[in-house]
Amino acid sequence: MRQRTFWRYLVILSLLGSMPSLAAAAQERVAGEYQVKAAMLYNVAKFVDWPDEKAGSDQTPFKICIIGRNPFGTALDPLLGNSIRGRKLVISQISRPEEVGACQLLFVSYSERRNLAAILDTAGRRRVLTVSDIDRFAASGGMIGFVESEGRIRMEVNLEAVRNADLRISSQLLKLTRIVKGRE
Amino acid sequence: MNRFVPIDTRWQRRVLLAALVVLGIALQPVTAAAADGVTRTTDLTQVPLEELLEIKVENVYSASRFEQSVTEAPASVSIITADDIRKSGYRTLADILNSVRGFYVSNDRNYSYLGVRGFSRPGDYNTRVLLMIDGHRLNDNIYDQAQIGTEFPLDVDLIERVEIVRGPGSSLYGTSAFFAVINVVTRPGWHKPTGETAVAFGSDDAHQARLTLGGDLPAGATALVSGTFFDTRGERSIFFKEYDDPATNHGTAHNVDDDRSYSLYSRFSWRDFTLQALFAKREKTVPTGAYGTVFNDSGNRTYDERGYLDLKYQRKFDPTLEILGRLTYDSYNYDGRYVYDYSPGGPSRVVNKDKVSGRWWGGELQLTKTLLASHILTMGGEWRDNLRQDQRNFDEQPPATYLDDNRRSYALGLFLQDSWKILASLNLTLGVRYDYNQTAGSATSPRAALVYSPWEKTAFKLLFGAAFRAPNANELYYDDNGISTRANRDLKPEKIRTYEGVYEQYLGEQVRTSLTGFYYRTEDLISQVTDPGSGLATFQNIDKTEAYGGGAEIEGRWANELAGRLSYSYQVTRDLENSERLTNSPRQLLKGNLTLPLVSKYLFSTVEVLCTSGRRTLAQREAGGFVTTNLTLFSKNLLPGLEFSCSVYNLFDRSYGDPGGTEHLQDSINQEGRTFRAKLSYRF
Repeated sequence: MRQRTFWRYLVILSLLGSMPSLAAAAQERVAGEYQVKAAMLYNVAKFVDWPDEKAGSDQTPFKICIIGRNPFGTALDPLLGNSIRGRKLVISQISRPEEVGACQLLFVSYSERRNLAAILDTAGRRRVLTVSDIDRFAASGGMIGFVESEGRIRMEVNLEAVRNADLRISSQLLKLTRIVKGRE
Repeated sequence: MNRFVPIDTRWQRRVLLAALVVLGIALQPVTAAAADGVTRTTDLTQVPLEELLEIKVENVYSASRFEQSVTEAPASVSIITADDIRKSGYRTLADILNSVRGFYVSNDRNYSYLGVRGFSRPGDYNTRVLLMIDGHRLNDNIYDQAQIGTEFPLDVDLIERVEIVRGPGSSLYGTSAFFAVINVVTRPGWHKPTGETAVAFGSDDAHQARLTLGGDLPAGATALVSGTFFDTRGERSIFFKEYDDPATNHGTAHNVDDDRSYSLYSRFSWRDFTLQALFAKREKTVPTGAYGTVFNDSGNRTYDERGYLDLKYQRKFDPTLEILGRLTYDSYNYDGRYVYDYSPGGPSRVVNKDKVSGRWWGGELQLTKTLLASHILTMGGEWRDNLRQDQRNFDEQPPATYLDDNRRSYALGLFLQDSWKILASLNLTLGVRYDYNQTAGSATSPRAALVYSPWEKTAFKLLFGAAFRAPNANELYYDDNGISTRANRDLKPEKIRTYEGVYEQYLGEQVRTSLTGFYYRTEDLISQVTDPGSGLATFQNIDKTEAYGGGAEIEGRWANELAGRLSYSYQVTRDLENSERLTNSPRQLLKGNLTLPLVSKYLFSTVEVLCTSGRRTLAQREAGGFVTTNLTLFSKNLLPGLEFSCSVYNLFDRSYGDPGGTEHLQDSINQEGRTFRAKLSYRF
């Protein structure tokens, strides 16, 4: 009887042990917070339409700007050399909101939370997509906020702010986000 | 005594064999990964957004008091997430911790006792483990007890994740952070007004109900409020052979195992402020005849009441500077009712009450600053004013008071830690904390950790730590005037030094493995002894012990929610006075947990197998090793917001016992057989 029980557990345990090979093709990963956020910035840019005057021509680069202290470290490096909609991607660091005009996408660093209103105001008028991981960014007038939930990065969207800047976010992207302001 | 040995050897052989089989098979992914080239792209820019959203950002706060990744943390860390809790059907924090490598939980049918790396001392109410909820210390100010069973004051549904940091944490957290630091992180609130309700039914007439409401309030505030009620009749009949006598109902405790609790939790956040309030009460009937009480009398009960208010201010001024401040007020009440038979010569039924009341407030300030891009400095201070540490013991009728002790004391601590990135691949953490405790004096706890990461997916850690635990008010002052216990006010803090090596390796992106080896040495451990002259029990700084051992773990998580963990730990503990193995200290622990998606995104099955090898009891006998298996079926998304789970615990109805403390006549306390639970939760 004891032996039989033992073999029963052995079978269960072996099953447990063989589990990784059951789904070798599966893909969940673990990565650094800003590595993920960097990749999300790049991905988000692919799902947004800018008004023509802002979109620029194929010859001008697509510019992702970071205002404030850069929290990404080397995490943005893999983005370099990629292109968005056939345009070369460049990343530039800016320190004053007035410099935002040349950017398509602006990432607002945590360090700028006290200047948020001024930054958002200028960026909105210049048709720049604003993204940040400042708490309640989207609810406070930003366009896309990165929030952490259950160990994963989620997105919150303020559609009102997006529309006020004449930008359009594809429904494909909206499906993956939580809308905190404005209606679809 | 000898006849118990073969059981253990046989069991050890079984576990060893099983471990070999399992490890053999578990190594498959290593070879498989090597075959299809581990150099799989780590360039996340090529990963579709849907998948990016599923990538786990693995951060841990408790190891250094700032957020860092698990591999960077200067400790061996495990994390159990909300997802694990739901899919594995964990009912209490004790269930959660029991699934963690190197941890084991024993139960005396009143409280749950956490064993860490072979240490679970008799009469130790988890005083050597620091337990926190969102960084708020939960150990009370009289027993220093960390409550983890049904007395844990938070519904596990409200947990976002549990961070388990092995090894001493006194260099950051002070007293109690002796063997491990456990931080329970509560789940985030909702912005949209949302409600969630859960109901559960189970064996022994158990039922549970929860209602949680949350959402944004005006002026940018967010609120979460939750209440839970739990009630069970407990096991209807429990047989204890030590009481097998006609005078004590032939050893059967009938209908005296009920357990009832409620808990209320709320959290309000506004800007950088978070206010948390928690209150919980549990009432448990004690079926074991503990402390020589009348067996099978439903008047033997304990009531535990725990509450706190916690106001936290946390602000990241920029990525290099973060400030955290905290003001807290805590309360703990314990009411133990014990029925005694004083005949002949006295009444045959007297209720003796053990009443304890603790109140304390405190403050904490912490600064985390990055300097020269390569140093992260964490410094801070903590202050605790124990407004009330009262213990009373008295008979109700006829009235008689044996103990009425009222205390007030304070404690403070100052800490500094530097995490220095010497090279891109090499990190040195040095920390020290000074603690002053009004009753037990001062203690200094240093720590040093070297983390070497030659490749992105590899980390070697060399860890040294020292910790202390100040004697608690119960050990210092409990004195019932010559009846059972004498106070010892000369107790000093007990101390531990630990050395540990850790090797962590990611295999591809889904699988994490770790290998650890450790050596612990404790001095002046506070233990209860009986004075041969007076026959009275008293606490003394006597025990010198050592422990060494190691463990291996393999953990995998995949995108279709397939996940598994498998861990093995081996630990040898020894009392240095007599070279004997410690009681309640299993040599080996083997744990496996596998979640299989049966219908992708909708239905999952989780099998958990927990093997514990034999443990020595206080009577120098052997509580045999055992294997328990739990099975949970979990479904979600069938309707929006609806989740359903069905669990069977101890599936094969294995009978086993946990070693009991000195208060029990039973050497080993029988545990419950197969039970089930069904649970439904709905979000609206």
